[in-house]
Amino acid sequence: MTSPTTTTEATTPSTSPHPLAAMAGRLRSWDGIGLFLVLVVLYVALSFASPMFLTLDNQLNILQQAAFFGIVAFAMTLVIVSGEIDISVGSMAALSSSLLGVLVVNVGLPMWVACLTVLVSAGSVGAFAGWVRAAFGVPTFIATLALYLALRGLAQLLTNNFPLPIDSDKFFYWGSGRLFGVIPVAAVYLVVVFAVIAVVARKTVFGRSVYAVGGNARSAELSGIPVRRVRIAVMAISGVAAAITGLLLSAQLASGNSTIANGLEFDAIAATIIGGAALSGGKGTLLGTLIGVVFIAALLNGMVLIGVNPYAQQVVRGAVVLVAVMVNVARYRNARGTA
Amino acid sequence: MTPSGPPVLECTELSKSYGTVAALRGVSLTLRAGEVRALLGMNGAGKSTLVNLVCGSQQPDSGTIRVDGAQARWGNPGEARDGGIAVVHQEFSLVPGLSVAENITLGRWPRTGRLGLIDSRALDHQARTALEMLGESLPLGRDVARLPIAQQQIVEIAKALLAEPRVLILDEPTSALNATEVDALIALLRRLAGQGVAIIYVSHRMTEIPQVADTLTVLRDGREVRTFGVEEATPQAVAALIGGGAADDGVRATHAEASELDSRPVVLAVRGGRMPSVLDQVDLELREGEVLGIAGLLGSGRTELLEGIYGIRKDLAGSVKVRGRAARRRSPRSMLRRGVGMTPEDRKGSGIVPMLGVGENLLLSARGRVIRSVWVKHTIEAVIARATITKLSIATSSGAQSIDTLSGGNQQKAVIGRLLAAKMTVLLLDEPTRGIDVHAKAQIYSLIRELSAAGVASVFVSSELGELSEVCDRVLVLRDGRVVEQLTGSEATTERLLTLAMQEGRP
Repeated sequence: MTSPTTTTEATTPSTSPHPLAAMAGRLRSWDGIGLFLVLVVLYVALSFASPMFLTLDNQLNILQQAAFFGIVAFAMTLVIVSGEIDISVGSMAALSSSLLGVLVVNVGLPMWVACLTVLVSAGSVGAFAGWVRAAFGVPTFIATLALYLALRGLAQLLTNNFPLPIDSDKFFYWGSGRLFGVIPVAAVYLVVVFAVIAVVARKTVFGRSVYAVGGNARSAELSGIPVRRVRIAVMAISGVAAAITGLLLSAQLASGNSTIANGLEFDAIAATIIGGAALSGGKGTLLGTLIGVVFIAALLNGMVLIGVNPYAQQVVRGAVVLVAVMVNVARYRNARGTA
Repeated sequence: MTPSGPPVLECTELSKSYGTVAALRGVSLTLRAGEVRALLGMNGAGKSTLVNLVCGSQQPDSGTIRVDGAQARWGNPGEARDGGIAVVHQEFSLVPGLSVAENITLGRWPRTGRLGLIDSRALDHQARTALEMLGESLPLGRDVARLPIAQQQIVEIAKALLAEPRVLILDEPTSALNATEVDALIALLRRLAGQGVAIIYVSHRMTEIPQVADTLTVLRDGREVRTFGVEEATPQAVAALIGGGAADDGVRATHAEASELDSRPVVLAVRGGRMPSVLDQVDLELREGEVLGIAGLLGSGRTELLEGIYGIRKDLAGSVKVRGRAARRRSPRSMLRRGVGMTPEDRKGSGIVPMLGVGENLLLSARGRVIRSVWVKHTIEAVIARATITKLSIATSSGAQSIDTLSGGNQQKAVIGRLLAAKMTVLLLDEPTRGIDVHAKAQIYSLIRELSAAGVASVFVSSELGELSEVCDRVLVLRDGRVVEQLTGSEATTERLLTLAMQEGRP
């Protein structure tokens, strides 16, 4: 946990030893090992506190719950690594759901056309926030704070704040059904989105550029990295991820709904921070965020099982995030100090 | 003209080393009340170290400092300030958004009674008193950011005077001022000296020295070369003392002959380069494999010229041609596409990406150019990274090592290596040897010469004039945004460059 090296992200040395040995070495120098241990401790504690916790059924529930903010958290990791933030994701999900309702119920578009339209619109709005950042230098915190209000308002405007019932078994299945009657479809999306974004972050020139821009934008610019385009792209990806979440929630509720996904930004940012990403940018891994997502989902699930007072749950969530940030900052400072 | 009287500041045999590098070796300095002492020397001569020791930012390894006869040992600048030493740094420490009066009294705001509110009347009074010492009056309530630079400078000095110092140190106080403002500042400092304040005045500008100083001390390589009355100082003699002459003996045999150079194709040309209030009709021609030095003091426009060529600044007017083809609408990306790369002066702020490994830092520009793929090609990247690390002998355990664990010299090599990995053929190097040790400097010189032999052309900007004669085939001297002289490598001795760069355009 104190290791300052970032071996996991660096170019692989070509004198490769045995793959297993290399993997073990990676694991040892991996920043997230401490976090992983914390997750293990949480699991042990919760399984003692409630016999229900460690059942397969409950674990699958956790995964399904995790999908509702995890997908956004993975995109948020790119956003935060690039040195930006997106607090409009909850409103974006609500707008996506409302727009879907309007397109399907009022306009009568086929479901797949409606879904595609929603994803493209959300991507465009996200790109707009990135463009405002890139072209005018408006911090994304401000730009997405404006969207946080405006998009929720737009969602309510579209639906008059009434749910628009969407009557489609297929849609319901692809949103909240279970594959083979066991695996939640949402969990499959979670894993797929994780895999895609993790590969993008590690293996593509774009992904590495995100790290370079977040680490030192000036240097990235001088090195010929298209800094503006990178900023616009990460915000667009975040918008699309929020839209996916909005569609999943619509399926679960079988309606287009403007009141959903309140506080989504909190869980997504919290998972990213717990996963070790630095809010100052340049640092963070998808694997870390995945652990952060599972941690939060397990914690929420566990507290419900134990029967913790819902208000007290919020206090715990807040405290967890605060501690995570403090640990991160301290760790980062140590790494710097020894350098 | 030299004041006599009891010494206010006595430094005896001060020494300071950073790691293995001795920055100051047994320097002594005595200053009397009302004396203005000019402190001169090249970069790395030990001026800033001496200033830092006197003002308490750093502690000497050996030697003593006495103020008014009492030995002083300061842990930090605050203690030094209480002990009677005040500094005005080259970079301003004003807080924009606060008023002139609030800035002058910053950190010592007077309070009223029990509530601890700020006593604005006492605050204004203190600020006004400090300004009156300078014989200046400024609008006390004005946001300091809205003052012109020259008046901000006055606020800085007033702030330093608030503690009623015995010794006032000014580090390059005129680098941001124009001629009239400089004259006003000099008059103001003479007035202060008349009130008995001892002043240490660090500057490069030769013409100011006789007007402001009583005595001057020249430092070189961390030693005091000579201290003498200003009336004995001629610019040539001082330049010779600063440069030391020794560095010019080793002019390289590798320099290309002027006639041979002229037969090579021009790879980069600037015609009539202008930038509002920075550059004026600058012409520059760089030929294949040539190393062209640009000599000039801070503020001469050398960085702006490179930034203009590279398209970081968009306000360079005039024509820029790369291999005979006009380069319009320049940006770093478009220049890299043309084979022109730049390494910035500010290595930490604009050069490296601190959180990435050495390997990734080397490959930032190569990706998408040399390696044309959406995917990160780990195998090819590893090969390029290793080759670059070996070629530049970057001291790192592997490409995976985090770049901020490397020394400044190795970081600099990596920043240059980034351009080489992207196969750039024209390098714009802004102060590539700033803040790195002698050994690394020598490595960078020979790297540039090696690249030159392989046909890579470089523009080499440096304020260490000695190294220009060592590395460059030709040297342009830039002063106040104009090319005042063009010398061949062997003509470009340190003394000659220094004399040319320091003379001032005004009569």
